[in-house]
Amino acid sequence: MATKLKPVDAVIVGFGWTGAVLARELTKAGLNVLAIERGGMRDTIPNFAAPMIHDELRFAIRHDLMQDASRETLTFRNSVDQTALPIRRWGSFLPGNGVGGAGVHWNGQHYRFAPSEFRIRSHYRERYGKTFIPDEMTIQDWPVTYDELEPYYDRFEYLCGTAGKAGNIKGVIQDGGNPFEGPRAREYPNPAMKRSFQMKMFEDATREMGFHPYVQPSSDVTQAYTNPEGVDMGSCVYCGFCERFGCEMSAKASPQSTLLPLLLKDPRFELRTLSHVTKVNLDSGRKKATGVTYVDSQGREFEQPADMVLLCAFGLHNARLMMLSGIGRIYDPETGKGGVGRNYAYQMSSSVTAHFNDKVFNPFMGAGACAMIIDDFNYDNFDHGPLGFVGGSYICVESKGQRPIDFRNLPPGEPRWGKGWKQSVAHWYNRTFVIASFGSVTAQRGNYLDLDPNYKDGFGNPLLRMTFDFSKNDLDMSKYCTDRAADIAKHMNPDKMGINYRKGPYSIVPYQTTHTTGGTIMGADPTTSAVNRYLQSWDVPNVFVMGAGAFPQNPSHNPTGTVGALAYWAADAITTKYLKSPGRLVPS
Amino acid sequence: MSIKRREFVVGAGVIGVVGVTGGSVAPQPASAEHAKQMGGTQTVQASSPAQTATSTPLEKRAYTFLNPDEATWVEAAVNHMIPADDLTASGVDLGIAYFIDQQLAGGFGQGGKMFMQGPWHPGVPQQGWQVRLSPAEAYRAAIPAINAYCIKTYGKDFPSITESQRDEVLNDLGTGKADSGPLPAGLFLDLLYQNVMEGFFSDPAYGGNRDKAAWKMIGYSGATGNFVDLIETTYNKPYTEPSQSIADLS
Repeated sequence: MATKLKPVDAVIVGFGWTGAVLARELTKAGLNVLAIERGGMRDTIPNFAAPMIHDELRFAIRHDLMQDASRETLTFRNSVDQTALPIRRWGSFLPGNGVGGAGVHWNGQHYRFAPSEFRIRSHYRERYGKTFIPDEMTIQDWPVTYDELEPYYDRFEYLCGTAGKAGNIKGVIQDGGNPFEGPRAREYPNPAMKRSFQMKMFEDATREMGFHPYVQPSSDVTQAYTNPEGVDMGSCVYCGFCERFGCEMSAKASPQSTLLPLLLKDPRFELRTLSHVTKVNLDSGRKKATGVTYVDSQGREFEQPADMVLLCAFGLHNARLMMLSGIGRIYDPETGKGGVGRNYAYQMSSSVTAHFNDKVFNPFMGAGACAMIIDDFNYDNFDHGPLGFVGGSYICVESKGQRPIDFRNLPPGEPRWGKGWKQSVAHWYNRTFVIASFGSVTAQRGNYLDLDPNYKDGFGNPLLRMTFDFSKNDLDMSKYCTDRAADIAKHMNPDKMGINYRKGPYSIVPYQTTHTTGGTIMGADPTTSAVNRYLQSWDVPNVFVMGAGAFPQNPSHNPTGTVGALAYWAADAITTKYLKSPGRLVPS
Repeated sequence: MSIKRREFVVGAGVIGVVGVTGGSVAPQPASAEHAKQMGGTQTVQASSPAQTATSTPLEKRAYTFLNPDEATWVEAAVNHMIPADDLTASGVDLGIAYFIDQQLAGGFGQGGKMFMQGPWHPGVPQQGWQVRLSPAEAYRAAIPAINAYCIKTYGKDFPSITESQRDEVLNDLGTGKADSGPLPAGLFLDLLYQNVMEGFFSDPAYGGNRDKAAWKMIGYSGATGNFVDLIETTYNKPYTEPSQSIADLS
């Protein structure tokens, strides 16, 4: 029997980036906000202290900051004709856990999506004809435009202290930035990151080839910075321990380094950790949420009433919680009906290794978002007509800290062990860099999320089931972009090089990226989306669902910039529209 | 073969350390089999005082998971993958077998963060680990099976076959030609290889990578963490500061 608690104005499920943004915006609007987080408390001091945090084995390999798969995982299969089996240990992607969520262990790579992405289906049909997009490709226009989101992108970048060089300010192309980007209202809050030797080589080569290199926008802040909320951030020291680590310098933007100090002092805010939300409770008509049920560490069940429920967990968990709570209709790939679980997508990654006998790169120096990028083969920045596929990749050289358990790229054909291998790794570790390609994944009718019929978590609830494989479209796209990366490598005349294409079928074993998207997608049509343009559930209007689950497909660039922008966009709609007149913000 | 730096002694019957000035050196508790492989008693090269002064003091270390047969097997595999040469001491002397033992005894080996609920099915390779065994149980099951395969194929167990035969067995484990008992093809080789590399390259706090030998070998800085003034000023120049471990910085 659940213990019924005192009501709050808004309950937040999961305290990562979106939970922190919404908590701040709603408490500022005068609401009492409770955030419920299944993991434990973590803060810069003492949890991310150096030198302890500079431990590759513990954090990068054993996934210390990640979700414990023994308690909850998901099941996976490539297609409906396989039986989904549990992901028994993490590989391909790494869901976070605890206060700050994935906002603690991300790299700080902070992008905006291109304007064309927000109307991708319309755009491709207009430019390439009505039959260019195959039937099974379920890509959708976003129900929001780049121009509408721009002020919110700006807000999240200024919160994070993002370092970069604008490529387009109010329509005027800027030297040194990304000329393909959408217009921004103003320059980045902080100057771009420094360039490593290998980034400089890539910059010079791509410029000689007629491409448009730019330094990756980075929320690893490049100078001491006080954000608009008045929170002081540190300056990045290029230690090379970002991805899968917390930042001891408060230089990597995270909920801890940007908002948490304010929230913890705010009497309107409460953070309840080690408490696992098992469902959103609905009233008898199933059109209104009455709050959430959660279980504490001792197994005690609590009912937390709230006027509003904000799902702010990782995208996969938000989708599962909607399904477990009966919010919306679960997608059926046979009929194509149902908005929840629809359009699950991922990211295409591949690489080219370039090896130089006479150069030294010190690959351990760097930061999670220290990279040189070209977008010449991203979005619709190149002619897709003769190529026949949708989407693209950004191509880059990253100096994000090549720690040696994970990153030892040898030329093809070298021994795997023994004296020969030792000589090879001793020679090449410092004389190699990688040109990586990170690309889009188009939504496909057969790629989706639902509840698993066979496996349950420790609370007796069905695990989420992922059905996903790379489509021919995306493999063709990735092959094309990997070949362009190889062209760039060849231009630099390496002594040796290797090409690592991404091949199907998709496997959950090797790490690729944690950029899982979709499942709770936003849309203009309630029959083909889970939430409306304000991330409000079509079916239960006092439930809002944040995160990259809202992306109708995976656009290629890293998701966090858009996740933060959408959180501010939704918070604005809640505080200026919804609170004045609770109900549907978009008629269905 | 010249051994660049051997501040400690391997094997039974060694009574002294030649030329070591640190004074805090203890013998490595290796199995008898290992001592035999290493030629029983080895002449230990003198370390330079500078090297010894920066060496981590060594303590006697016992295996807490591996049984004697498994210890012999793991030591043989570790020294096959990381042999002594001009670059480093052998994998066992660097503590990699000890590292593996400790990892298998702890949370990783016991499958602490693995989802271990049934039902169980073999699945397809892209569904990853689907055997009803923890990593420690996988070692326990695989080692006797591989020894049996080696006896059948070569007449001797894995630690006793020749170097080229070991190469062949390890490669055949990858393809499934060599039997690893109840495990699917490739799983045990991947696990062993990953653990050997972890033991070689992880912070010495975990018991491997003794004296940061692997980091020195490749020129890795270690747990050091401030390159803000170097990343743009060391183009094409090697980083010359010593590698630092977590202990060095603590």
